[in-house]
Amino acid sequence: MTTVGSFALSLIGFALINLSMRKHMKQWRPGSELSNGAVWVVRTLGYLLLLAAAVVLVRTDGLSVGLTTYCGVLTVAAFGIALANSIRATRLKRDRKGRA
Amino acid sequence: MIGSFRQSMTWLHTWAGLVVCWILYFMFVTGTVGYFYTEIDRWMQPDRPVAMDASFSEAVAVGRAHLEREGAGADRWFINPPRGREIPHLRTFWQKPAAEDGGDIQRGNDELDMRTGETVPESVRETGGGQTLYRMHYILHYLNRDIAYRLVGILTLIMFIGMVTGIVVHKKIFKDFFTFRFAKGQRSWLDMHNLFSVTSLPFQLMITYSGLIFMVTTWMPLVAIGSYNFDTEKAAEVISEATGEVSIEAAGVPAELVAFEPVIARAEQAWGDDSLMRMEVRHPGDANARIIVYRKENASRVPARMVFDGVSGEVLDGRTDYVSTPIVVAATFLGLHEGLFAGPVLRWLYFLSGLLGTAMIATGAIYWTAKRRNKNPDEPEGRGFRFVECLNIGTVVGLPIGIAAYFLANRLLPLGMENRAEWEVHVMFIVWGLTLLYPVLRSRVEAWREQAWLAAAAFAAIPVVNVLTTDNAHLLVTLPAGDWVLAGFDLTAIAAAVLFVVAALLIGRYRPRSHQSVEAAAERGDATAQSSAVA
Repeated sequence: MTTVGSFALSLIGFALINLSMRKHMKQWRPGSELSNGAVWVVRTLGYLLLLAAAVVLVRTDGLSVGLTTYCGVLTVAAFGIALANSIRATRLKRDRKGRA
Repeated sequence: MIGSFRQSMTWLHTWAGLVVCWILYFMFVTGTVGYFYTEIDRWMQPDRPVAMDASFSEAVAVGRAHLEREGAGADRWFINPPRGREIPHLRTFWQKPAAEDGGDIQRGNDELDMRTGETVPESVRETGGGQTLYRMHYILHYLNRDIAYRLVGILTLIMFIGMVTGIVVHKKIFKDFFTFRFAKGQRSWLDMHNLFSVTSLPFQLMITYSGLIFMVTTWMPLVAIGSYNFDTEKAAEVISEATGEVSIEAAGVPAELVAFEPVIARAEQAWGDDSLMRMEVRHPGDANARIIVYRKENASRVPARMVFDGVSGEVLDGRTDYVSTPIVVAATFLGLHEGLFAGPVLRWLYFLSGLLGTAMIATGAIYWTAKRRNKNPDEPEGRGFRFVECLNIGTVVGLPIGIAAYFLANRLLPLGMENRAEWEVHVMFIVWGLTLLYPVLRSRVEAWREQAWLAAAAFAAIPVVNVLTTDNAHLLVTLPAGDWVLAGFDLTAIAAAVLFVVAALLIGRYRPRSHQSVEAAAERGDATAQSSAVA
């Protein structure tokens, strides 16, 4: 259960970091752009959630097992976000082609 | 140096990676599968009795009774109580010294059923099981063990160089962290390679560096030998000295071995309930008997033990800090590499990270060919290029087919067959060998597609053949019974089959375009089309 919680935090954390990158923001919200201040806030929040995900695991599983699990959780979460970006890009392309 | 520093590193990354990528792929696949070797063992010997949990003191009592019968006169006993998936049954070991007038050291190794105290019957299915598959990643099976260790050490070092140079050459490591551009030919292969590498980077660095630590005494023996003034006999004791192994001679005076209960109680008082892992007895029945109780290892595998007088039951050595810092560091890395401490969730994360490492190597190898084809679309494929391509197809898809054949052989080879376990492995390598030859006879796309379909069929056949060849170890029984070890194996085989079906369908949609279409795309200024046309 803790691993699932940590995974959820990591996924949201990575999603925020992803949105703080302009090229990915364009994919998810075409036409809208975050200000520099908003980028900073979103990115910092993303990193804080990643930190929280680590804390959750270390508190329940201990430092050694907790950090090991955390690395695995980060891997799956980051991979999930990259895959979501890719699917989104393919859909946008298909939509654009459909409109053309 | 070739051009700039980064260009040199790119060259090193490309060629270091390419030359050994197929054997690294083999090591990663078999090592990754090895994270479930106990579960695979059980699937391959479904008729063996299911493990039963027991308390440390219960198991030790059963083990002692067995050793007093079978190991009387031995100078060493080991009792290893059942411990979840890693040690499913109580294990005992005894060793008698060689007789003074010659002869060999005698040893006895047994697995005991906790319900009966009797030896667990051997399976009717002689098999190498998951252990053989797992061991392949560092002994490479057919090679002499010394040669294999040295070779694996070099390969691991090359892998490590590949990873460090990969980090150096990846200019936009953070910017492209979440980037995977689908269906863009060569670009997609590079994105995939980067994505697999970067997302699992902590695991890949850990697994490669800790792999090097396993090989430290193979490749740097002079460190130990030099510490013993080049006395090679004494240097052989380095491991036992470094890990604080107890050394004591028998007194030659008979004395009754103390009861184990107070010893266990004393150790549990120091380390807590359910904290004990195994017990060793030196010179049982002698006045100099010693009982050594080992604490359960945590993730770091750092050993901790208490030494008791085997006659009085007194604590002789209760220190836990007897190992040196280098041993602690090494044990930490080795523990992380093996992941024996991992529960089900972490074990799956290990497995997934291993798969990403495997995919990293595969996509790197495929990218090499895609890039060269994109660069020189006019040139006919040279022999070297074709050789790399055939190895790519025959290894990336062929090795999984070989592994599926290994599992099928376990179910299909005659039960009484001589050297059955060895033949399971021979079947795996014969099938893999055939899949390496097949791409030579077919065009690139045909070979990829057909082998992907073959892999899908081979993995889909596993649960089907299982239904036909076992009475109660197949999905129709294991799923309703909630036996997730056996059911999980079959379901994983089905998942692998589905994955290969998807791969085969994607390859089936791919239409290699002629060079003219590339030129036409170039005239239109369509860079994407150019790239995907030739990739």
